[in-house]
Amino acid sequence: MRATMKSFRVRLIAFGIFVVVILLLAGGVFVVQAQAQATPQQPVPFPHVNMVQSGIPCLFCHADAIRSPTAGIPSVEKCMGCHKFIATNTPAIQKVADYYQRGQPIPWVRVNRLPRFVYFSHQVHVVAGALNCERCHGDVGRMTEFQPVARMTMGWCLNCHNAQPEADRLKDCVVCHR
Amino acid sequence: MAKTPHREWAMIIDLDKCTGCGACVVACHAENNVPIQTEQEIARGRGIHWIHIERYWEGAFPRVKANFLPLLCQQCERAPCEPVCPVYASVRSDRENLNLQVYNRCVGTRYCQNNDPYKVRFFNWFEPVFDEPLNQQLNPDVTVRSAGVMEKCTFCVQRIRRAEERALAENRALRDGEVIPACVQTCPPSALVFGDLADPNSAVAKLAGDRRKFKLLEHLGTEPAIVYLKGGESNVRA
Repeated sequence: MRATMKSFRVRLIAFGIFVVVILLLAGGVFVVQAQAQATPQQPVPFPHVNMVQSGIPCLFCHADAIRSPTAGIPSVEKCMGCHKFIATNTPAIQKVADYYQRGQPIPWVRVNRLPRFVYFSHQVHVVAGALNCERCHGDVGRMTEFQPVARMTMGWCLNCHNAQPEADRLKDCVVCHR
Repeated sequence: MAKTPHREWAMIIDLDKCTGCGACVVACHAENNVPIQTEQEIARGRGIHWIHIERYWEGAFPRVKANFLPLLCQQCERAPCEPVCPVYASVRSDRENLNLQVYNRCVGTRYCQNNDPYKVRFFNWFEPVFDEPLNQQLNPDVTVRSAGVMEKCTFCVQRIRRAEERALAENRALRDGEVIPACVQTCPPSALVFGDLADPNSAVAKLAGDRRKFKLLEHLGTEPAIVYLKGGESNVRA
């Protein structure tokens, strides 16, 4: 009788440890996912919606998207090209003007991250693939705070690559990894 | 969207032109973020060189001659290194005639290295170290491999991609000679030529029909993509 009670208690403790480990793992996964999808705090609040509704196309600021692998972030000079004259008295623009006067770049926080072993080119996707920016970045034109809409995992890339007429080429490892 | 054709990337190495200067080795190290090992570790066989020069002596002392043979991954059509990999880290791209090494899959069994008859695969025994100022010149287009994975020549696949992406964006076909690996670019006597064998008008397709041609360890049936052109005395027509 005593022996069975003891083994029951041991089993109970083991089960308890198991439950705690599972909960911790689930919590960890949740935190990592939340971090991947979090909206980072930017040094200057930048409502994309205002820009797009004023009729500025994405490529006006992110012009490198059609000629290089990276889409690029505009220089402070480019911001000031318009904002010397437009909305000059708002606190956000005054912050931008401060950076301009000090000759410093604005330390924007990266929103969409790819691992270092992934080599993505905006140029082919936008020019040869004829994709809209919205296809991957979501409806940025309605965002007051820029946030990621996709987790940008390999499966997410392949969902689209496999659906292309050239899937055979686009699922080769060295298309993205090298 | 322009359809990209099947490619057969290949290299011609003219042994008559090779002077054994080793510029290709240096260029490869710089282009592909290949770490440089200490003399001691290289002596233990732990150095990494995606391309290196094999040296052979011919003749006896007063009339001696050195022969050089640049050796790199032969990008075999039937690569012995591939079927032995338990995790499919060593895979073949039929579409491009390349042998790929997927670093993220590699678990470091080194079976591929053992089964590779040319001995051109290298294992990272250590975390790579790039001393100042070499860390400033790492190529951003190439992964820095960590300890525990195999690596080898990729035919500078990052340059192939760059050229292909440029051609795609300009909506035209890739031109012959547009893709130039680092070793080919740097070779002072132009002993190395790179191109697409599938294109009958390419420089490699023309040279591949040369009567001096041979492939390394051809009897193994690995069908390498690298064609050597015989040099030295063997080249003289009888």
